[in-house]
Amino acid sequence: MRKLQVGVDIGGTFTDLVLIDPSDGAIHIGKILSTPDDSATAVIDALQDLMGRLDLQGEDLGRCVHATTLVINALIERRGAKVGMITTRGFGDVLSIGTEQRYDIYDLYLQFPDPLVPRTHIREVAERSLADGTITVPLDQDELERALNELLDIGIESLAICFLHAYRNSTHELEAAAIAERISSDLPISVSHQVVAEIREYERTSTTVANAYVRPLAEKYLYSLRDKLRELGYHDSPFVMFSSGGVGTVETAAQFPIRMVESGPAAGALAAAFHARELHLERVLAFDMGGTTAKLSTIVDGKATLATGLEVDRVHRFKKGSGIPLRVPVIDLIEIGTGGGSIAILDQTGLLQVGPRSSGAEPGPACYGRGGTEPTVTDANLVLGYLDPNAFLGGEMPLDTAAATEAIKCKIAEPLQLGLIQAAWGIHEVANENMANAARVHLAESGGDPRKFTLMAFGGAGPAHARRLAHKLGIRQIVYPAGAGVMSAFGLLVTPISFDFSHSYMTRLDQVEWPYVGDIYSQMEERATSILTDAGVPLTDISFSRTVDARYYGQEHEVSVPLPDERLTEKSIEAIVANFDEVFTNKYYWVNSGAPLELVNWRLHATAPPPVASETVKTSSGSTSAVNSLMGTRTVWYGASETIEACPVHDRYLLRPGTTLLGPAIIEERETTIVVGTDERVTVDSALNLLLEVSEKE
Amino acid sequence: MEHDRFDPISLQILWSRLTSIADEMAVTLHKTSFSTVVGSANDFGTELVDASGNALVHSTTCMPTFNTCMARVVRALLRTYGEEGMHPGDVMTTNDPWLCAGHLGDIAIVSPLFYRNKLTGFAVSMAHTSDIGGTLDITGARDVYEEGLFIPLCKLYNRNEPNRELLDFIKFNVRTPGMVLGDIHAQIGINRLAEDRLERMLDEYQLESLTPLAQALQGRSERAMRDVISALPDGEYTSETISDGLDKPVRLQVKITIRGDSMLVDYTGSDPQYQRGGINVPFSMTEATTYYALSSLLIPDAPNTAGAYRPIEINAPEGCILNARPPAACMVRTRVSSYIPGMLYQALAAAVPEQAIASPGLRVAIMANGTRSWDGVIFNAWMFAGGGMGASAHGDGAKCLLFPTSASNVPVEIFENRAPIVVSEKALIPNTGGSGRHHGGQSQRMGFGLNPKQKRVVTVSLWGPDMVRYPATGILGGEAGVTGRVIFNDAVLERTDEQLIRGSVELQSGDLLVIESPGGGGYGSVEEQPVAGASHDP
Repeated sequence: MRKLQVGVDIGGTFTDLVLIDPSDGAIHIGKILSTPDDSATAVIDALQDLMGRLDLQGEDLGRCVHATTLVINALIERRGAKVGMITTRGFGDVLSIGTEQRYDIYDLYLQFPDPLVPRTHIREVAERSLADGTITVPLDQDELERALNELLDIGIESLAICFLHAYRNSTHELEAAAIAERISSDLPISVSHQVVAEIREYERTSTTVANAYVRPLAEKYLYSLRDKLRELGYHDSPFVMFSSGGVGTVETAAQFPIRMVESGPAAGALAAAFHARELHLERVLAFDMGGTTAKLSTIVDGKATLATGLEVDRVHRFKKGSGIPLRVPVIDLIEIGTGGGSIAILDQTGLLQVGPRSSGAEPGPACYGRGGTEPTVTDANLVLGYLDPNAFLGGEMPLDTAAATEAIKCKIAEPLQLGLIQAAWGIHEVANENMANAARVHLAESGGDPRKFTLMAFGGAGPAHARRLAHKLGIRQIVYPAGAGVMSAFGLLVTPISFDFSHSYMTRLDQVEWPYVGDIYSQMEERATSILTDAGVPLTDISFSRTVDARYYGQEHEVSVPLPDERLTEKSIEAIVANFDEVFTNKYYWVNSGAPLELVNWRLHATAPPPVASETVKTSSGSTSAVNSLMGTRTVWYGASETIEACPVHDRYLLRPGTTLLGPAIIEERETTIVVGTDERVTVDSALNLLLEVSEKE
Repeated sequence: MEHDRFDPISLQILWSRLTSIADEMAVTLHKTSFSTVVGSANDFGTELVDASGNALVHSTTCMPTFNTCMARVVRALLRTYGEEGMHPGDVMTTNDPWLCAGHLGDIAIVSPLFYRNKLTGFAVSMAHTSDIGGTLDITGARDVYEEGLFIPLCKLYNRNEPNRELLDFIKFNVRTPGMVLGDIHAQIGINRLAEDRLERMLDEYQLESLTPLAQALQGRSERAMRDVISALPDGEYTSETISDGLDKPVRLQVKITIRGDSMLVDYTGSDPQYQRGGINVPFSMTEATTYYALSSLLIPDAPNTAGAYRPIEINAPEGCILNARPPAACMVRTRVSSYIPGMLYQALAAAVPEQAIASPGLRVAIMANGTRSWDGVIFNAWMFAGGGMGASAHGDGAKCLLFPTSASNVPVEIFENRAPIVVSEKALIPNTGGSGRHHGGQSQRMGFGLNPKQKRVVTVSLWGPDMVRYPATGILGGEAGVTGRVIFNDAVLERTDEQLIRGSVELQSGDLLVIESPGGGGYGSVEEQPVAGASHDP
């Protein structure tokens, strides 16, 4: 019996559905408008529709994995629960005080987002552990009970418990959680050392509170989805994509919903990683440019790079430090305020700026003809000939070239005394430069040289900007993957079930208490095993990998170092030092050999085998016979004064494997346009991916 | 691309590329540093300077007063070595307070950048070092000699060859050589990175050198500043402020004269320098703080290059506390120089009422030094604590910010791991911002005691708090914020008490040191509040 694998990505606008039939590798796609009030509805509608078309029953469905924007939206729109918080005496203001850093040194009037829990819902209790875990003040249980009762009287719906140094000694947090459970058995409790057992009280508290804030909402949604799938005759439990790219059960997601915060973008990065593996690309820069932002992530050796945290709900959307920090494992992606809708303006010194202000969906770019008068990147792309005014979104939305021209002329060209094309090219190029600069700084954080990467472009606007972005970064090759319109949903299907754990134990390498490290790992492995076996993974299929965040003693920031695959004892020291030297040199080009090392967070990654063997996935379909893909020609600008009057325009869906196209050319698909430079060559591979070699010429 | 025609679009693209180079330097230094003061508290800056020594571009999180100081160091190098005395692979350094940011604590590391064998600019970073030797009584020094190691302008690397003697000289003169030299190596690393990135940029845009681009960008910032100054009414704007000082207060005075498109900032009338006490301000720091305060107020969105400062002339008579002569002690010069922004904003409130902002409550830093009893490790750990920000027409002042810096606080859990100290509280103090139409920002209280396992004394150096005597003033009718306090074992210390005079406390078992930062000044009179009696601390 065939069991189809299901991937569902619930986005802000669309809910995407992808089904893969492992018996023949066939892929089926569904796309419907999301239903923000109850996002499970859209999932069920889309699934029912596709099941009807393919004549499937509930029992024909195999593993179902899904990603959702539920958590991130609840945080941004402040639609979460009424949270209460219990913390150590003297530290009730940790969230209000934050880092005290000014995220913009020239802004005298800085504001910060309000914490997710108001100060009136925070209670301090007597208790204290020190940096080495020693308890100096016992937990005052009576005081705690009084505090909990007060919070329950206020009507809190979710509780966060965050004690100082709980990453080192969790005794008091566990005691407090037990008492809270006794007093109110149905109150969801988020405990800091379980949400994130890492040092730095502000980040740990902020993450724990955010978890508590979204927990009731996430629980309700996840269980509703599971029940509705049951009504469809699907009796397994669905899985959830975490921000780390790991996949876990509904139960784990309901307990730690904050780990779902970037599940959609994570799935997109995993799809890029899948394509990177298929194409044997060692280093890939995944570039997803949509309407309001562009997202960049790196794929190295077929794996998406991970970061240990992110920031959400920024007051200044793209200024680091102006938001709420979350310390959760997350696919390392940066978001730049440059998208199709980004508005071009002239600043105080008469220089052209593009974004981060966006025209949004309403009124949208001037060319949408919905009253927008400010020039955007999409308007510039239309004027430069990259978009067909009559074929946007498959012709469903005609674009107004006159309105785009007018906006660029009035707001940019005339004040700068430039021609229309010069101004449009300027907007396009400033957008490219913004993205290239963000990419460079991002790669610097992870120590990568952009020239060694292949660019993988997707999203509505990504393919139109990819070649100039590549050029600026010194990248020589671009991949435009097939099925770019449903990248995230596709990513859900190619990802194994896995889970990440971490535990802070800060110590010099020469002073490690190895039996304690053994205990840390036994505990983490035990939890991982129970989570994965509950998810139906056979014990023998579970594999573990261990890393430690390490640095030179005295340094403040760590690099992630693989631990040897053996029982860890003082004999492991040599291997750890060797691994550290290798990682550090690769990142920063120098080592301080012989300097003592310090270890901070001990990490465990537990995973099941990949769900679908990659060779079973065939994105190619239909005939391979030659078809004329040429749709017509139009005038396209490749620079402020470089134009091709009869530039050929091709239909991507008619390109067959093995085809080679020479630039100049435009390749159109439903949601996006690929621009091929004058002396560039595009080839179509057997999976219908397009590969472009970037010209060295400007 | 032709040198003589940078259109606005190319300029924007190149400006943003230069910023990304400075940011890449900053990110890498932050990640590879060895001290709490750089790696947690972010007390450093990175910059590219043009071949003539004019500031071109600094990182977006650069310590605000460092950018002009870094350029000043480069100009001194040009005078000392000349172009012919600099070679690829050279790395220069100094911590001369009169060139750097006004005290021995900030170390500049400079690399000349060569493109096609010609000097084209400089990569510079300046970072607060964890320790520079000298006394731990931070206001107890009689002169700069007691404040630590003075590194004159010199080469740390000569054509890629390290100057071992100099490195050893530093190593044997500081308490935490691992941190100090580790940070210096990290600084050298990012200059190499900058050289590579700049070369790629010049290649890509086919520029022969950085100079014409620098001139074009500096010209733009100059015009932006002149345009804004021209729009202000001509006239004289004056203000004065009183800072705590040491045994007696220090009075500062300013007269700003606006004529057409230029401005003269004159500090004549400010008190004379003290030889001792570390609160003297070398002119480099006065200048840097003045420029920073004015560009934040007047052109917050324009590229901040040396051009922005050309329309502004600054005068402080030699020998006054804002132009202290060597060998005046100046380690904690921010206890005076940090009053400059508030004083300038008071003076200019009449000229720019919409941008006017009340004085900020100043930050506190403490530095804990000692030997851990249980393993003999010598430790050094910093803790920063912000004061309440001043209120403005835009709204209430933010709580606890580290103005006028780009630093961040150090997590209590990190601090307690680094030093055998237990922090008893870190809490906001209600009603500490000055009342007004908009209230000043709240300040905070932190308490410090010894870890019970620590048997030896720990020296806590006090870099503040200031505004213990005189609060952060309000503006346009707003009230002053609440003053800061230092409380040692339940006794509030007066400015004239011994510990505050010398700037350090010896913490022993059972002691409790409490520090309260000052609140920010209020904006507008309380009667103007839209809702009468609006809650003070929402």
